[in-house]
Amino acid sequence: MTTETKELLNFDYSKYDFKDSTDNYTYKSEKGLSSQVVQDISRMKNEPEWMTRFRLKALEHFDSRPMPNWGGDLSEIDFNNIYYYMKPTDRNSQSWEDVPESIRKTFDRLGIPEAEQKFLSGVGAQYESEVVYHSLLKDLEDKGVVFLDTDSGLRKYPDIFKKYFGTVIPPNDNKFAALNSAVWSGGSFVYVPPGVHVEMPLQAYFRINAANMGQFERTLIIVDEGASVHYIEGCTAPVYSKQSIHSAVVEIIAKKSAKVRYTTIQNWSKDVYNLVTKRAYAYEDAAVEWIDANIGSKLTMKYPSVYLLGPRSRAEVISVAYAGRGRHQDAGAKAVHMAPHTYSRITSKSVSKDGGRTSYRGLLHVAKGAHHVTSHVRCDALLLDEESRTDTYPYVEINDDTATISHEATVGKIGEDQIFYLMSRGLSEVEAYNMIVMGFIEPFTKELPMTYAVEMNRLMALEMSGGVG
Amino acid sequence: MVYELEVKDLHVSVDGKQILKGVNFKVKQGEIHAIMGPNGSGKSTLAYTIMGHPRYKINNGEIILNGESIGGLTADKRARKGLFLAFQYPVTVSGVNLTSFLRSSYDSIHSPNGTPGKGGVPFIQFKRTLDQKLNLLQIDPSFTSRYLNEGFSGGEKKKCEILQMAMLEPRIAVLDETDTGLDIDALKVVAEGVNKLAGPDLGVAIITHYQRILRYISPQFVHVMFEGKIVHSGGKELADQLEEKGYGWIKGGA
Amino acid sequence: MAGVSRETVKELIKLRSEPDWLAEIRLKAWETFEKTPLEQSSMYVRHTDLRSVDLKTLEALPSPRSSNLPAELETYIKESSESSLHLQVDSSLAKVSPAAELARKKVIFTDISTAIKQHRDLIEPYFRNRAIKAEEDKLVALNTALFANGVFLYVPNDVHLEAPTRSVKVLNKLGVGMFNLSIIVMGNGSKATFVEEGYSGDHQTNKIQSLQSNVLEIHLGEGAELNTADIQSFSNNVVIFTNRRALSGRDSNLNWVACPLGGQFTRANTSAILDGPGANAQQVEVVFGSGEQQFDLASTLSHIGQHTTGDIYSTGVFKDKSKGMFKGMIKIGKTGIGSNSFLSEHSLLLNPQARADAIPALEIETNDVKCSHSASVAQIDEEQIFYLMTRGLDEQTARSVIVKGFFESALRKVQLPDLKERVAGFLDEKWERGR
Repeated sequence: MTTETKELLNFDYSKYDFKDSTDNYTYKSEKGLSSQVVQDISRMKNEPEWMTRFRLKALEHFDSRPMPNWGGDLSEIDFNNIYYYMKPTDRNSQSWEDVPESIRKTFDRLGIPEAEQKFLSGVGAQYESEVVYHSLLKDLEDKGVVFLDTDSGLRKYPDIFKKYFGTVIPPNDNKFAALNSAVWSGGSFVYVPPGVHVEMPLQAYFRINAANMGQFERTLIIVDEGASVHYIEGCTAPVYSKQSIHSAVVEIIAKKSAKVRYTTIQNWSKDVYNLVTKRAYAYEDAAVEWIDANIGSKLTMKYPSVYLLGPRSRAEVISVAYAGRGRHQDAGAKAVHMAPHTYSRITSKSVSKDGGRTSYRGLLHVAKGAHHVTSHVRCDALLLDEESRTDTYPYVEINDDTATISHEATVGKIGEDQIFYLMSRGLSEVEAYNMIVMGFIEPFTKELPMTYAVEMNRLMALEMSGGVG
Repeated sequence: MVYELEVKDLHVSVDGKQILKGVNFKVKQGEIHAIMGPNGSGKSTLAYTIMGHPRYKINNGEIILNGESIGGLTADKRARKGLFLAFQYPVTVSGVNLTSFLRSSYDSIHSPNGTPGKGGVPFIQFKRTLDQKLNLLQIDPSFTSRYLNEGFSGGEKKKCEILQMAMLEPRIAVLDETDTGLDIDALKVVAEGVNKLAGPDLGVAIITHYQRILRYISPQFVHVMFEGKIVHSGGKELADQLEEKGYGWIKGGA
Repeated sequence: MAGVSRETVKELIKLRSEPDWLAEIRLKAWETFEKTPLEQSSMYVRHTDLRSVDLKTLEALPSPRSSNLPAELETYIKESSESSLHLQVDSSLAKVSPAAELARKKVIFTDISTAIKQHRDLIEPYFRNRAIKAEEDKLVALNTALFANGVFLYVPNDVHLEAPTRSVKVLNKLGVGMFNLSIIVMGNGSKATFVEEGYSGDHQTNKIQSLQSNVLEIHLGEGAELNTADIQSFSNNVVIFTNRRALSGRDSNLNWVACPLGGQFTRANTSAILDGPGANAQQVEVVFGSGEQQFDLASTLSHIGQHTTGDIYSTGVFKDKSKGMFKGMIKIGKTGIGSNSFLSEHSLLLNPQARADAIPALEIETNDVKCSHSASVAQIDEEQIFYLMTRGLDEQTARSVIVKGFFESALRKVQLPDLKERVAGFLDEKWERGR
């Protein structure tokens, strides 16, 4: 690869690199974490007492748990140098006109209102700790679909909220789930009533603006029997040379015959530690799909999971990771088969460049008595230069003799002959590299709605010709 | 203007090993040449070098297209100048569908505004051309929604090469062992395709070990390569002689 | 004295009247043993379980009297006059008989204690700079503190040994701890075969645990070639800890075969450090578990040199309540340019209560490599059984044919025909025995 090609293949994060002033924020917590900060957050949100207790208990878990000694390098995180809560505005609007101008401009630049008009059923936009905009198509509201920010969800639907909140990912699940449970703010609360199909996707957009910010959104999605929904999230932040943390918790409950697809395009700036716990329960005949792209962040540790609890439930995880200079994507997937005739398929594609590191870390577990499970795992890694690194750590645990399991992984580079072949057809070296990388991640992009696929390709390669998609 | 590709005293090495030892050869638009020779005589090296594969180092000599020396150009620039190479072993690129690929490729070669690969050619024009070529070569349109060469049979790969040749409308095309690995039916289909594309605007150099493709494509000129040089040139009768006497004959005659 | 302690180590030193340099190494290793956690890799913490192992009642010191060789084992051990034999019964050395060619070719083949006494200059460097450091693994530390037996094989440059060298271990008594350290040094361009075998006298049903602790270190010079195998069919009250490591020089060739069939609990850690450019290592692991047997098998290929090649083929069949764990790891370092590596872990489960885990990991730090792995867990395909039955086989035979076919996929990688035949024979026997 020529140096010129190498440079042209660098990703452009600058589109997302703009900052707004934080001077007019309604509230900024002190830096650092304490039970006082946790109580302040809860009080400011006017939460019921059970939630305050839940948060404080979670804080205890967080304090008592050691930092994970696996995955990425977490040693530089300074939990005392983080703002745990920032409220940019008092308003949570249902119309973009009501959103304060500076924030609205941010989302305009990110293209959110435009996308909303074209092909979304509903949009939520979170800025720092709070959701500033939320809307849902009228006819879906009439059918009983709930799409709110999580704080409003707690206020408006306390019973259903309390029934499910923290049941899929309890606070003591891991250190970062505990952290989120203590200081969570924002996120989406989704409920889809039995038999309702939400045809167009719901989208949530998460933006960190301030330096040293911690964003801890919490999403709870309940899809009732026979219902379906597609939820999309996007994440960006400007570049600071100070660390930020994004530590979300996403819980999904897919009831009998429900279908849920959760798509993420994560493009945090290189200062952000992205430490996320995502898990879904799939009941009888339900289908859960995680479509997960990790392009940004300094370090991502994220392993979307599906617990297949009901017979014939299905899980699909398709993920792509890109690690450029100074980035480590430690991502993967977990499929935990607890019921018979369940199926899972995990496809992971990773690309490392300029000394970046991608790691696939996965778990495939088949419990005793979960008979006739089928699972396929495939991990492919592409290394674009000799400095980059890739790891594969798949755990396969089989406790039932009727399981049919396959796992395959490959590591490789782009072949000189492939490049030559494409160049002999008139493509430049850059175009040839891009085309091969695009082809490599195609199993992922083909799952995205058209506009996102285009955006994804733009993200992944700036010099792409218009025809490829 | 009639395009002419000239290879002049070409010496080429691969990984430090000298393969071509002074090849001289010319092909013009409208002509069909066959380059024959036993295994290891340097035929494929000649093809790759003409197209600019980075592993093939020119130690001496020149490749000239219309008076311009192109030996230093990368493969994409040569393609844009109207050269085409049909590969002996077409390369698979997973996840890239044939239509998208052809679009990018077509665009980079036929772009009217001189900035290739930027969607300069309207999609509709591209699509119309593609349909026309598919029809001409009698290729099922569903073919184009598959990934580039992935899971293609030997015959399909070669058909795909011919389709690309049709789309890119080169002035000079080199067909490297297009007949290897084809059964007789596939061979006929491919040969018919070449015949349909041949004409006053296209110069073809068919590189082949066997004589059999020449039953379906008739060259005006035949060259025999041996140990890195062209040792005989002549008309179609030379191919017949080879058929009769085998390559052993040239060793004595060289 | 039962159990193991610092006192046991001291007593062993006294018993053997060992030199100070070795005493120091042993006592230091004991300290390391005491302070080191059992599992040091964060990757495997959740997949390590030694609850079934209890060392408190072990007799760890070598007995001064040698035991008798049980009659029923004689067929296995019968010496062929060409091969060299190192025979241990319980913790005592019974016999070392080098083949005739060894003296002629200046090959050293002796037990480790004799080697320490008679070839100190040769062997001491390998103690000073161990291929596997005691700090790396608690079980290696334990072995270093307590090893009383083992083989020292030294093959000079360019010497080719025709006949195999064998190290046979027989457990006849109950509650015995056998600690063996073997060191193999292969000179440049040398060639040899080394086979380890382990058998028990027939005390299948007795619950008193015995322990086999084996460390094998292999140093391969430039262009050296070693075929090595470890076949054991101890009875089901034996716990086996094995650590093997090869340091491979330029263009060397290593083929190793591990076939653990017996034992209650086997923990084996095998690694090849492909240091020299062009070095090659191939590892074949064939496991057949039954009853409540557990196998915890870790295999690592570490590509440091350029253009090194390696394969790991792990194949396991697990019936009854047996459990297998394959922990495979391919590492290609920054310098391992042009390396080619493959890892496969395939298991067949024959009963509902059998289980198999696989962790086929890769750590790749440079891009000009070929590297892949595949893993699967499956059961016998009923369609296959049906097909074979339509061809006249009864169901039992059909199952047996399929299982043998499954083993064959790994066995065909075994380079030496004799060895392959023997491994296949042991597998057959275990299958027939039904336990």
